[in-house]
Amino acid sequence: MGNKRKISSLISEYFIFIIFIVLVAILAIMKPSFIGPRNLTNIMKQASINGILAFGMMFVIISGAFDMSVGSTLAFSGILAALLGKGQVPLIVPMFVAMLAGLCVGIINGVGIAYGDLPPFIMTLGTQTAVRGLALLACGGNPVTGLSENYRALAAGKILGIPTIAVFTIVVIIICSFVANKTVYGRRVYSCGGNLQAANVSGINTNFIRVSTFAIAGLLAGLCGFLMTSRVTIGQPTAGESYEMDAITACVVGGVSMSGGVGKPLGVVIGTLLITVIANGLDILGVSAYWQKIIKGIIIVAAVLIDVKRKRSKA
Amino acid sequence: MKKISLVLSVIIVLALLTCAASAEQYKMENGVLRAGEGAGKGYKILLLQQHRNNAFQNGVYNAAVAAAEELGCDLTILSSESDAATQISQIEQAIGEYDAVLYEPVNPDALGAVSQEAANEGMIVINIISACTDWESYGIAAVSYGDNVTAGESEMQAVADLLGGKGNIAILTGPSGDSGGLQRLEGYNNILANYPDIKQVVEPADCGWDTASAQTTVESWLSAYEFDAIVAENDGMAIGAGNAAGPNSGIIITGVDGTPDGFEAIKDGRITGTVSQNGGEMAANGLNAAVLLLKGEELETNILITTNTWIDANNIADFE
Repeated sequence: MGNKRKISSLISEYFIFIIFIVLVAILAIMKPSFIGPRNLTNIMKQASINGILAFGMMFVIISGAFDMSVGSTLAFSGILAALLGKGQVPLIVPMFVAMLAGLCVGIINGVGIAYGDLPPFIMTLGTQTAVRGLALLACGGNPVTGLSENYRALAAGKILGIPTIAVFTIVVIIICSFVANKTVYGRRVYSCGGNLQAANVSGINTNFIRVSTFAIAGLLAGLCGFLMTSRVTIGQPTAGESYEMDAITACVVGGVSMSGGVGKPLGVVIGTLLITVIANGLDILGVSAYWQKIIKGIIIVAAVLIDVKRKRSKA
Repeated sequence: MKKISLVLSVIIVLALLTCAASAEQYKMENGVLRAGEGAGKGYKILLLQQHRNNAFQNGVYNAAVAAAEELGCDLTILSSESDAATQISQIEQAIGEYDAVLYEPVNPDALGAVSQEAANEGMIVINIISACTDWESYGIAAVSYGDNVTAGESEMQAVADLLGGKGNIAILTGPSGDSGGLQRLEGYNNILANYPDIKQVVEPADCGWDTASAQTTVESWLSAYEFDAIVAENDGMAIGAGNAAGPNSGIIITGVDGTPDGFEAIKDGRITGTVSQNGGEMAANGLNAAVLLLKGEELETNILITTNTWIDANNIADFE
């Protein structure tokens, strides 16, 4: 009896997971090649960038804010990585510089919001615009070509049969899940988002926590810039436009509350996969571009609606 | 007597030829219009780019600067940041300050009224790269563009020739509803009408001019379909398709634009070829036309169309 209740509470907790499985099953029946090994590799590669961005976003949203600047940060750090990725220095250097650049943008966001008391929307919209400008300035508006052979091969390569870019994502997911679930820091992020004043009164340095969540989002956006440049084999100043929206969507679909304090890493993984599978599946089915937009919108709203309704009826 | 009449008739013919020649002095030759060195001295001209975020627009910028140096005119170049309201304000502010304004309309239907206002104040208004709807009725003196429909036709014709008129293809388009993209698609369809054995296996995909987005779509497709060719409406998306398929994949992959990243992909075999859209020449022709009109000269035609060329591994060295 106790077991049964446990299972049913698990089901309602992860109902989005069931929606995801049903969607995969439908797509696999409609087009068997959808679950072929080649396409499973595709899904891993395609979910990677958004997955990393979504995990950075998860910390920010749980702490009670959101970050509109990660797409621009991705572009700027991707350009820096491309400029340094022509073979003149070991690959670790462009990766480090890209992450450092992302970290800087994140800290600026965090300081403006925590210490300057700016609304997250305004602060990160400002950096979104300014950092996009920096990306264009760094390369004079031209795409950066001539990447070294091993930089290009990085994202295209595989480790133990798993695309290298997905290995990066898996490592990020493991670290972030551990930090969110098992550390004092993680619990403090949740309490900041749950009730900022209460957290403050209970002695948590909330300003530090808030700055740090933006720093994590920026750092991971920088890593994404490095990986994106390798994936498309050029540095593009226009890369990553509106990627922040996909990252926010992945979080919200995965059960992270926009009002803060609530959300689980596993939910974000499912949210990311759900968005990727929708786009991938519709491409494979050869659905026209106009219908893709309509269907994607409906699935996202419906998935969250069913999830919210179930949780409410349980509560 | 006979001699005299011969001499006279020769003189008459020569005179007629000279007249004819002087009346046709300012016409395009091989898609190029030139007013001559130093012809633009003393004129202040404003050029508004739709944006300056990619290699194509940089080509426009550089060619405009070079053309202004040759003409000796005083050229200011601004970006309208892809916003029609910004562009309208920029044109309004140019009235009385500049002798001529050249712009790439952000939206073909939004800029008629302000163009009319500028023309009424005696400014020369010219559209470059694309044209406003009913541009002549708004006092716009000339348009200088490459024909997107023709570009689409050239690209699809090259694909059809490479396929021998038979095969499975897919099309990658710009943002849904973009006028340039729709015109290229129209060009594709004009050619496809002649080749019933070329089949589109999937619906055209909207990849918004974006490399990463095209790469994702084509990766997904390749796990479910076999293609002989993938036809993209710009080089950026062709590169994405080339990345997904890998170098020398045996799939014919083509683009439009002729940008440096496209050239790199042609050389390493990721994409097959591209149709050049010479944005720089469009700006240079527009600038020369503006100077000629300011000097009171006449143009043979006020629709200046640059030619586009098929570029592949064989002739790429000529274009870099």
